[in-house]
Amino acid sequence: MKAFSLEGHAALVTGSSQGIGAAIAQGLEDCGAAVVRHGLQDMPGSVAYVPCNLSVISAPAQLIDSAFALQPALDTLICNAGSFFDTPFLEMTATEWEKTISLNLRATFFLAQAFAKKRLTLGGGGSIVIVSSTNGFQAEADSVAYDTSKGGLVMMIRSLAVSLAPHGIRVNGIAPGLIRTPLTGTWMESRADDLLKHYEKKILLGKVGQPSDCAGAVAFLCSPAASYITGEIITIDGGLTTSQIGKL
Amino acid sequence: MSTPFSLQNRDIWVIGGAGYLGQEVVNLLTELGASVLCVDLSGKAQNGPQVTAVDLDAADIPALENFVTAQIAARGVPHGLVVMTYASTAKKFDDLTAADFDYANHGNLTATFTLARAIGNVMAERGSGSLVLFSSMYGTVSPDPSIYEAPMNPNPVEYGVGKAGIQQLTRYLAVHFGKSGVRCNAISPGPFPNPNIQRDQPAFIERLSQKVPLGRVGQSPEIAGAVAFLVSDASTFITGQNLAVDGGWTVW
Repeated sequence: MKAFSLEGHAALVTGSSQGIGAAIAQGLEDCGAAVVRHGLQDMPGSVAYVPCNLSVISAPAQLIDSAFALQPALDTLICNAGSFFDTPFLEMTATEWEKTISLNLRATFFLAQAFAKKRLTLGGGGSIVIVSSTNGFQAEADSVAYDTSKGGLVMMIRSLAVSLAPHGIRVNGIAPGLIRTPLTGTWMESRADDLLKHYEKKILLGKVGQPSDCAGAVAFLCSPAASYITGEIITIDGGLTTSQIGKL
Repeated sequence: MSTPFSLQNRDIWVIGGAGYLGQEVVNLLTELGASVLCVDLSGKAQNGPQVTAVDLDAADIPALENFVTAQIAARGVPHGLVVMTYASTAKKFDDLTAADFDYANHGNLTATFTLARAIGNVMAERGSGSLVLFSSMYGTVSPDPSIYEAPMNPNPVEYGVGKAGIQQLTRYLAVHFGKSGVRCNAISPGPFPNPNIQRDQPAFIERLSQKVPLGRVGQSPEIAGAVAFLVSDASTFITGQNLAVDGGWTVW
């Protein structure tokens, strides 16, 4: 299993108190990595966990500092924290737009920058995985801010990969499709129509994904088995976007 | 340590498994616990622990069909099929005849389609399986003629045309077989020049490396992880994808 082993590696996973982030953190630990977790809420009693609101401008750099304080040889960053704040397009306010962009895009950029600065003081090297979405390249109605932020992450992954390659830092992404999480579960249950049925019909593998479906791809991208992979985005959607999703 | 990358009790068929990249794929799959049917042109594949060698010219369609029937009878339906074969003429652009072009398309596309459909159908009857087809960065972007100095020929047109076709074949098969639980994905290697070229053409290797964000060409073991990932339980919700293993070649 050497090729996929993460023994001796240490990772920060943002947004890992629940959902996809929690599964990614568990997957990295299962492959041998030490993991620092992050979430918005305080979690009294938890170790190697740093709470903060990444929408605050200074928070990303502070989170990186805290993570390196816990794991001085931290070499892996998983930018998973993100959310969905869209309202119907014609009702969207600047404040709601900013909520999406500040968390999904700005925080991710400055996490990567602060991480890279630390890695350079340690001689470079390392791996970043950013969680985008199939909404980063296939659009959904009344999801303009979210789709824009995830599309921005698609290009951020590619652009960071080129910028950080000379320092030996690989940057890759995953693009989950419809995965059942606390975030999407609430949304799916709030819809009285046949939305879920439509999706299950469109997902080739016939089912909505589980958070654990995202863990293997992230562990692979962080491992020695992916040493020649950078700027790549692995879509994890059961085939949802292999043909058109179409009208819901 | 339990990880989803284990291939214990899996049977994986690797077509082109004795080639420069194929050997590394076979090595990693067996290291992860798989039994491997290593298939290549006459006399190239070798038996080994967990490895059974078979001779086959995949472009010979009747032989290919006999091979599928015989091996399913002997080994059962495989868990994974990896197709790494390709055809190319190495001719210059203006010297390529229509027959040459047909020959390459037959080897690259017709043979891959025939094999993947036959194995995909029996996997679908069982309700599970993973097909991994090999495309290339030259199925995504065109070669850059300026990096080839005479007497080298630029990477030939028929090669990239076939590799681009593999990307669409992958999506089509993913959709066709998806509801039956059979996944289909592609891998697009970047520059993995063989050891002879790496040794004899240092200036060419330098020009290639300059085109890669990671600043170097790939080494053969670096292709194997992507194959192992795509045939393993770590990728059970991934289908229809094309995974670039190219050091970032297609990113900029």
